[in-house]
Formats: sequence, C-alpha cells, structure tokens
Amino acid sequence: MRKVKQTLFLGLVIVLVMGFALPGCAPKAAPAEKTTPPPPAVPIKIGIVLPMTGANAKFGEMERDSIMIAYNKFGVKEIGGRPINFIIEDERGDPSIAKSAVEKLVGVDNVDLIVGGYSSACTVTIAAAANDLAVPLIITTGSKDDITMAGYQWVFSGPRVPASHYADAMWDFLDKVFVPGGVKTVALYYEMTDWGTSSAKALRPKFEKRGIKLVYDSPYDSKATDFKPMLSKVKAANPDMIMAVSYLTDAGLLARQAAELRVNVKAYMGQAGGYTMPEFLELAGDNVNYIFTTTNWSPVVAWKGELAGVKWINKEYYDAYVATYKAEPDYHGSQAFAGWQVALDALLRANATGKPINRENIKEVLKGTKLMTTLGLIEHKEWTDEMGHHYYNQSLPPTYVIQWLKKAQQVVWPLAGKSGDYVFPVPKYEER
Amino acid sequence: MALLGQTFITGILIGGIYAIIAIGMTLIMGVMKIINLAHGALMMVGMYVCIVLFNSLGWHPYISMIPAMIILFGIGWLLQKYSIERVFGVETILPESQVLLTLALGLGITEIIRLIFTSNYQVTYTPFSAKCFYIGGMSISAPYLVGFIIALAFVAALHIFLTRTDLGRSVIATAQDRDAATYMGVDARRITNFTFALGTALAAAGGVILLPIFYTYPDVWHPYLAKAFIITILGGMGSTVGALSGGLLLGVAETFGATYWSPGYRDVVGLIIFLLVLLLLPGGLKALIKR
Repeated sequence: MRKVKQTLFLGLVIVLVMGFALPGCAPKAAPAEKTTPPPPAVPIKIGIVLPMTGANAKFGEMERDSIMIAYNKFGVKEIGGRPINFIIEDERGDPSIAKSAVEKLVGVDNVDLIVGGYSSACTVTIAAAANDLAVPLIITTGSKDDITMAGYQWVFSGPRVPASHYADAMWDFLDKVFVPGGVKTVALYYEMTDWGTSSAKALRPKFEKRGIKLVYDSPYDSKATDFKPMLSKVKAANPDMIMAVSYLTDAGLLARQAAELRVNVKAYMGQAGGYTMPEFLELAGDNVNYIFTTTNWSPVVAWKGELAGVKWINKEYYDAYVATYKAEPDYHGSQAFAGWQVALDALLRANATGKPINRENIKEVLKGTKLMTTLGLIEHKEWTDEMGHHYYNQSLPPTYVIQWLKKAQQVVWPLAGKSGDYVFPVPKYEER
Repeated sequence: MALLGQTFITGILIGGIYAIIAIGMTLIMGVMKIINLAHGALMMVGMYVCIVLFNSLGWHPYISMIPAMIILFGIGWLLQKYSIERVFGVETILPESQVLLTLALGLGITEIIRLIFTSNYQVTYTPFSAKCFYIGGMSISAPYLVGFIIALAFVAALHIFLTRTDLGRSVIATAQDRDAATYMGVDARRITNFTFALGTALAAAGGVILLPIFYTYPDVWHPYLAKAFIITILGGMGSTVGALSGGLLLGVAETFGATYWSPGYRDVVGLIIFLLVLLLLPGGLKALIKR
C-alpha cells in the first residue's frame, strides 16, 4: 500500500513538473510553420499643447476634455491600421515653456500633428516653433491677429477667431441698436497681455469710425484682486458704454465691483473671454445680468454635420460635456472640439489620398479644409480684411452677441439666430 | 475728491488683508530666518478647507475660519516637524536647502489640491459678498470692511500674545537669539514648530478673509506670496506692527498707482517700494519705528 502511495506521489510530481515547469520541453503535436510577426503599427501621434497647470489650467482642462469628447464621439481610434495616440504637454501659461513643449513633441515624441494654443502669448511661440520645425499645427484659441499674419505654412487656424474679429457681430449690433440708442462715448479697458492689447488695437479705430469717443482707455493686470481704482476712474469719465476685454476671474470681479461702485452705463459689453463662461455667473452672481458679450459659439446655435460617417449636432457636444464632466463648457471647449473635427477630417483625407500619413501630407490636406463644425463652417484660406490684415490658413467662424438675462445667456444678435430679446439701455444698478 | 477718498479707502482695506497674509510669513522668517515659499500654498489650502465646509455644511467662510485655522495649524506643525526640521543645520549641496524644501512643499501641495479639486475656480458667493455701504459718493464693500476688521483683530491679538505671554516671549526670544534662548531654558525646537504652525494658521485666516471677495483655484497663491514677501521685507522680520504698517502702505501705494498711474502698473508700484526699502531702509519699517 505504501509503495502504491509512493508511486502515485511520484507520478503526481512528474505530471506537475511536466505541466508547469517544463512546458517548452513538451513535444509539439505538429511542426508549426515559421512566421515572422508583423511589426507593430507606428501610431499616428497627436501632440496637444495646453495649460494644464497655472492660472489658465481651467481652460486647458476644458479644451483637453473637449478634444477627448470629440475623439470618442467620432470613434475613429485608428486610421490606415495605425492607432491614434495623444501626447499632452503642459505649457503652464509660459511662452518659453510652450516653445520647449513643441520642441519636445517634435524632437523626442516625433508627433505628426499638434493641436492646441490657449493664450495668445503662448500661441505666438507655439506657432513659430511648429513652423520652424515643420510640423502642422491646428490652433484652437490663441487669437492674436499676428499669429496667422506671419505667413506660416504649417500653422492652421480654423477654430480660433482673430482677436480683431471677435466683435464682428457686435459692430452690426452697435450700428443698429446702440448708436441710435444714444451711445456716444465708451470706456475701454482690457487685460494687458497679447490678447487684450491686440483686441484694443482693433477696437479703437472702429469706435472712432462710428463717432464714438473714447473717454477712458487703459490696460489692466488680469491677476489683480481689486479693480476699484480703475472703475472709479471709469465712473468719473461717465461713459455711455463700457467695452471690456477680460479673462474669467477678472471679468467676474469687474462685474461685481462695477455694481458696488454703481458704474451706471447704457451697456456693458465684454469681448468674449471670461464673459461667456458659465463660471462667470458663479463669480459675479446677480451682477451678470444685462451684461452683453460677443462670442463665437453657443449651445443654442443649430450647426450640424457628418464626419467619419457619424452625424452630429452642436448641442450634442454641450450635452456630452455636461454629462461627462458635470460642468458647462463655453466657446473654448467648442473650439477644441472643432479642432479635433478639423484634425480628424485632415487625417482621414490624408489617408484617402493613398499617401503615407505624415507631417507633409497632413499639411497639404489641411490647406484644403472646408468642414462644418460646432463653430460653423471652417475653411482654411488666405484673405485680407478691411483693416488690411492679411491672414494665411485662417478661417472666420461667425460671431454672436449674447446678453445675460435672469442669470442665463441669451443670443440676442443677429436677430435671425436669437434666443431672447435684448434689454437696452440696461437699468441702473440702484433700480435692479 | 470722491475719487481720492475712494482710492484711499480701497487701499487701506486691501492693505489690511495683505497684512494678515504676510504676518505669518514675517513670524516664520523672524524665528527661522528662512523665506517660507510654501506660505502661499498653505493659505490656499485654508481656502479649500472653507470651500469644503461651505459646499458640504453651508458654513459661511467667517465661521469655517476657526476649523480652517486649527487644521492648518496641525498641518503646519507636521510639515515643520517631519520635513523642514529634518534639513535644519544639515550639510547639503545647496546652502538654502530649507528654502528649496518649502518651495517643493508649496508646489507639491498645489498639485495635490489640483488632483482632488481640479483647476476649476471655486467661489463662496453669498448675498453678503455683494453688500456695500455708500458714504458721500464713495462705496465701502462689506466683505472688505469685515475682512479688514478681522485682520486688525488678529494683528492686535498676536501682538498681545507675543508681548504679554510666556509662550509669546519665548517666540520673540528665539527670533532674537536662538542659542541664548536655548541657554535660558526655551525649547527652541518646539518654539520653532509652534511658530511655523501659527504662521500657517494665520495664512489660512488671510485666505479665508479673501474668500467672500475673491475666488480660489490651486494657483491662486502666487501673487499673494510675492506680496507677503514684499511686506515682510518692508515691515521688518518678526514684527507684527511692521507687517501691519507694511501691508497698509503696500495696499495704499498699489491702489494710488492703479488709479493715478495705470491699472496695469499696480504691481510695479509694489516692486519699486520693495527696491527702495532694500536700498534705503534694509531693516524695514521696524528699524524706522525703533529710531
């Protein structure tokens, strides 16, 4: 009996050793055909350069998340057998870091395409570096006019609106509503970086052309806590209208402090930026009411289209963002969504040419982009505006005028696309 | 005249708030002889404690200031005891290893907060935030005024604590001469831990006062760290009266610069004062008061 047990134990050990320890020694049932595994497909690398830390991180996160919503919405994970990989670089709102980020994406990561650029100051260096290093760049936001006036062949600007055109819809509104309504003077204040100064430069002659006198004109530091000194001067100048170019936090404080000082004007107009953001409501509270702002996107606009066989409508992006991130996006997010629409369209068209998907071929197809996006029709082309600005690879998405009414945004101009009726002149703070 | 009055009032009120943020830094600098570059980040943590209490329990920031200060006192003590103290007097490649450590702590804390709360702007907007008084064409914002009063109360309490209590005198003694204080029976290591914790709690108080006026996000502290540093140099290290007068002077100077020069140059005014003090009054306002 003992011998039987020993034999069984020995057999078990042999089976275990054969089964686990020496699988490679087992004879093969049939000799397999010798095959060489195919080399792994080289991914299509997309670099994303946005501020992920620092004061502008909020915008960087929104743009990154919007790109991911677009990526998932259209469901194209690979093209021509090559998977799409994203490499995200944080430019921290610092132009020199932004430049280094592009150099790293091109030199180390060997990306095929870059998408991004939030602040104008960073986008200036991103665009210059991308052009020097010959990698196609799709700018999402950075709007200083000069960026697409430099003749860069590798830089494409579909989603972004040049700073001097942010207020295009506003001028029509001004001519037809404000000027007949008695607006003769304006106080202009603007954040003091590239975006603000570039915008102010474009705004001044247009006010003057309409006979509207600038009674206050000053840059300010958007990181300040207290804007009362500036607003006290504005109040003393007694303008009919305020024109402000602000980021988010400064926009919120300006609205609150203008109410505290009772800077009463017939209209307070913001030039997009912070005035369009949902957080503007949180920061300014009831004081958002009656503030006008220009914008180049709203969830209520009925843009729709089809890309990669997937039908989309503008509102879907808004709903997806709210559902995924429990927060509302603004036009910056839509610009990033549209940025991926433009990028994906270009990649698909580059693949359809039968040529390899590389930087050169992506650049060539981007030149011919003509695509409906969440911002309307994006068409990369060379053109000159009435101010003599000559743009390259620049689209001109439509703009709108929004007014905050009962703490909600309403599109009030152009009238054809309005979702609410404008209130002008706005009631005095004491009477609200 | 209304413009001049408005400018002066605004400057004084904001200066008081600057002072309470700076007073913690000046205490730490006085005792430890190092610049605490984590001071701003710890102020921001205090703001987030209040944000959490505001969102979860609906507590107004002025109420949650007490738990925020207690929590930050604890965090400050732990940071000092288990990180900064460890490199005190240790031979390192770089001579200012403690300062570099505080910088690393500040950046690390910022990223942890970003990980938890994201970079979204957080606000504690209440009807009180919009309250205003009007006197002769000038407006006085209620949260600024209350913030200023709280700041003054803290400065006065701290001054009494430092000059009238044994523990406070031990802090001053350690600041004046660490070795001599030790020979006289003061536990300098414990006093250093206490000072760092107290400075951190005061930074939290400064941040909380800002909340009804301002908003917060993980990087909110950068300009306040710079202002606290300027006020510390301006007022003189370790001086409560110096920090208060430095804060008020900076607030008024910045506001006048923004009104009568350009809003874009308000920080330049602070930096000019900083340079002038370094060149002409290296001991700060404290030295001037002593004269």
